[in-house]
Amino acid sequence: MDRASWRYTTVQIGLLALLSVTVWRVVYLQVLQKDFLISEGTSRWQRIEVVNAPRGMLTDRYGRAMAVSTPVISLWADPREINKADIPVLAKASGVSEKTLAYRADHHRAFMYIRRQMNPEEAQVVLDLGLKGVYGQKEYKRYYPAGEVAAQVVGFTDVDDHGQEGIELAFDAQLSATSGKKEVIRDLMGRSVRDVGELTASEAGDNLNLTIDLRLQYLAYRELKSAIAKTGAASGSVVMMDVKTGEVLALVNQPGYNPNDRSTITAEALRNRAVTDGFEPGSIMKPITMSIALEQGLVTPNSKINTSPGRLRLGKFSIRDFRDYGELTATEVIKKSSNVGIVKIAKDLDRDVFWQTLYNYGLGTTPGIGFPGEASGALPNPMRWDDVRQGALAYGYGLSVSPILMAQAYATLANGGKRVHARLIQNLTTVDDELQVVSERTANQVIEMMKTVVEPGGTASRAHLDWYSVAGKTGTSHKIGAQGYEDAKYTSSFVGIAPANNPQVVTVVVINEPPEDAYYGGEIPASIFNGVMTQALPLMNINPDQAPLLGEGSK
Amino acid sequence: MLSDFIRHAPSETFSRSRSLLQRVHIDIYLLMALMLVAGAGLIVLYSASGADMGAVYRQSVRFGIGFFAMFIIAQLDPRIFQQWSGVLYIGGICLLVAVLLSGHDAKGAQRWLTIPGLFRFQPSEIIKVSVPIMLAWYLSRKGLPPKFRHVLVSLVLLFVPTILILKQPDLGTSLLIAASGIFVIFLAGLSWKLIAAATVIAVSSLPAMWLFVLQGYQKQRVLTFLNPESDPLGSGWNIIQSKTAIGSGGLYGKGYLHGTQSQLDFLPESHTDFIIAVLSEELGLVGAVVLLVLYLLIVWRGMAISINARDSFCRLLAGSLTLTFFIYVFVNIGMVSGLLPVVGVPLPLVSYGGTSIVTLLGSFGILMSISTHKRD
Repeated sequence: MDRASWRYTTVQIGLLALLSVTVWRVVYLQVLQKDFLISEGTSRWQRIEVVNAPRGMLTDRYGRAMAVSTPVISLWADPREINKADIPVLAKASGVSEKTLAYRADHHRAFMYIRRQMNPEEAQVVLDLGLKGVYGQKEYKRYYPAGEVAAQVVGFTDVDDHGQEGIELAFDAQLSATSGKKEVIRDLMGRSVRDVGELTASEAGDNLNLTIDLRLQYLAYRELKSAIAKTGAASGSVVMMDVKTGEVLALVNQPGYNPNDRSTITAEALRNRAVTDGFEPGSIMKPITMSIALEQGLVTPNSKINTSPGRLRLGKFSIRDFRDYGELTATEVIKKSSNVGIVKIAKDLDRDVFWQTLYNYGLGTTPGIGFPGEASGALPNPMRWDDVRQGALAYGYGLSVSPILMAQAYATLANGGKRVHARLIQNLTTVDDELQVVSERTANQVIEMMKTVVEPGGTASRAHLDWYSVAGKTGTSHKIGAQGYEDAKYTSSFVGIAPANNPQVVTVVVINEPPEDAYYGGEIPASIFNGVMTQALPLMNINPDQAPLLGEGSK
Repeated sequence: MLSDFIRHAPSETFSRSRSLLQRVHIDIYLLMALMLVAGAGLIVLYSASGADMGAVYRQSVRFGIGFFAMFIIAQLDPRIFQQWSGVLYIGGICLLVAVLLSGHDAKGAQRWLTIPGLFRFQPSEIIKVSVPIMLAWYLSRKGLPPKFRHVLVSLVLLFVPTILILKQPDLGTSLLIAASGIFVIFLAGLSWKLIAAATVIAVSSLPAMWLFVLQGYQKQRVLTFLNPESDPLGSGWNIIQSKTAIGSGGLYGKGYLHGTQSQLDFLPESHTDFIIAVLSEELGLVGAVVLLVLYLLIVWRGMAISINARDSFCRLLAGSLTLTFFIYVFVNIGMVSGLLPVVGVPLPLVSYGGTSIVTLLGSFGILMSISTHKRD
């Protein structure tokens, strides 16, 4: 038994030795190598996923959507994981060619897009195939409900949700969403099993409310587009502005494009001409010049000005009226748009006062609405003015303004002569410098003069509205070409204030290169004005301030 | 007289209660330890199978059958094992040969024998019990300590089934059977000179084993064991995953049912051979040590039964069965934790799987029989 007992002792020592080895091994793994093995384990199931948030929404002044982000799914794959044999199936399901997918799978290391921004239902069909290495990433795609109607104002984003044009570009920082990160647990097949938590929060972009009223925008768009289609003019713009606040109610340009279908985009269609393009305003400057002359006491509305013989020598240029109007009152100079008359009135204006007042109207600055590529108005330097220059300025040559600057100047006039600043974004504060550009009395006198323009015998009788008083002015200017002013290329324009008796809205219509048989501002632009305002004013809940005069005839 | 009576009364009561358990041939310590391990095993299995109550139910049924078999076997006098040792041994060998000739193919190895319409089983399970019985019978009959030629005969008796199982091929089982036989020979009183000689021969024969005996996949396992990172997505996967699972459990684990490696399907065979990794990941070092202590209780009781056995046969048999059980545990944990090559040994009483539970509990029936059948 002695023999047996030492054998048992040996056995027990052996057992204990093996047991200690086992325990040591477990302790080694679970205590000493713990951190390393935990990170090893974690790296197997933990994945960081990007959580996208929607870009801020763009709305009109009443909250109607102008640009919204809709959820889409971008399908991507890890070329290391995918099965080459799955590619034909994947190609069929995703609608991408087999060749393209095979190429991407060969040329990308760890990430390839299969197809971006698919609608979620279609993407889910592909994901439901359960192909190895195929994943879906939720993203947002920009959709523009107003389409072409507000295209140049809103602009658009690229596929990565960065603003490329318009407000989308100008306010990209505010609109951009911050994508977050979240930690998810994935199983062996790469399926997300459950969310662990957010690492960094995703944040949706800020919404922006524009001052645009989509209903007016649509009206203006419809009238402008049909007029351009009918007449074959090269391009055109319409700006509507609230005269008290400077809020842009409509901002329309043609030609346009559909931002939901990028294939329609051309360089011509892309420009927000009303803001980015300067033009020589021509006769629509006359009421502005007149207001300065009135303010300086050079004339009164009834002052007589002799415009005979209908032309005037100004340096080496000759200024002509449409015909010899003979003796005209100051009001009739506006009504008939007499170039000779306005030049004679402006001749005695102090040039510094002239320049300063034009500047105060905002004609020499940028509108400051925050739009990319805003054109600054260009006024000549008064130090180098001569009589020729002053005469040209009086009837709208020798300076450059954009339609929105023109609207801003007339809004100022219609606002009792108090400076108005154009605004396109609602929650953006702009300067209110309380600048009285001309006195209220002067402003009212000019508006009264402008009312005659739409009366029978005025240059824009087509702009006459049956139920609303209108103060307007037409403009027609020769375009500048390579050899100076072109004979047959014009910019025709119309500016109208309605209702004239209680100004609410200023509308500027500019038509670029109208047809040669209808190039006067009293033709296409005045008609567009009429078409827009007839519907717009009732829509804005503005009470009619006159009734159609019975027996007046068609005019 | 009275004082005598008083002095003897407690021991009298004690021996009476003992004799009650002895009469139904139950070793209460062993039974309790076994049931604790079985219970712990079912709890871990529930998590490892992915909260599959069906798996737990089927495993419980096996435990039922196993414990029932244990009670039946415990009723038999050890002499009966002695008498049937030859039949069991020869029968087992025949079945092994039958497997090799017409075995049922499972995972590239022929281990199963199907009795049409009834059931299928692994004959190697019978061999696990019959080899120690045969050797214990043979050596105890020849007188202890064994003479050299008796040792040689024992080795032949041992290596015939070992090689047959190795041919299936089932490296793990054949090694365990070899170990169970070696334990009998060692406990019988093998001289140290022979042990030393055997060790030298064994070590020097390793290269020959590598070249001529081991199958390709077995070599691959050994290579993988030596450097699992050489093929992390292939043959090294199991061992890297299980080490990661164990290690990431830390001291207290990630919580029951909350292991990431095991619950997310990273850990292969999580409910069978690698179940200890699930336990370690979810219940940590504490859980693993508790299970080891339970196993130790079983081994401790088994050794006590062996030491107190009534004759040499019983002592050798009980010792061999107990040590083999311990080796099962050691090899499994060693293999899962990366100490030993992956040889496909389940964790006794915890891993999911049929026949091994019944065989194991059957062998504990033998221990109980030895423990409760004292020489009258």
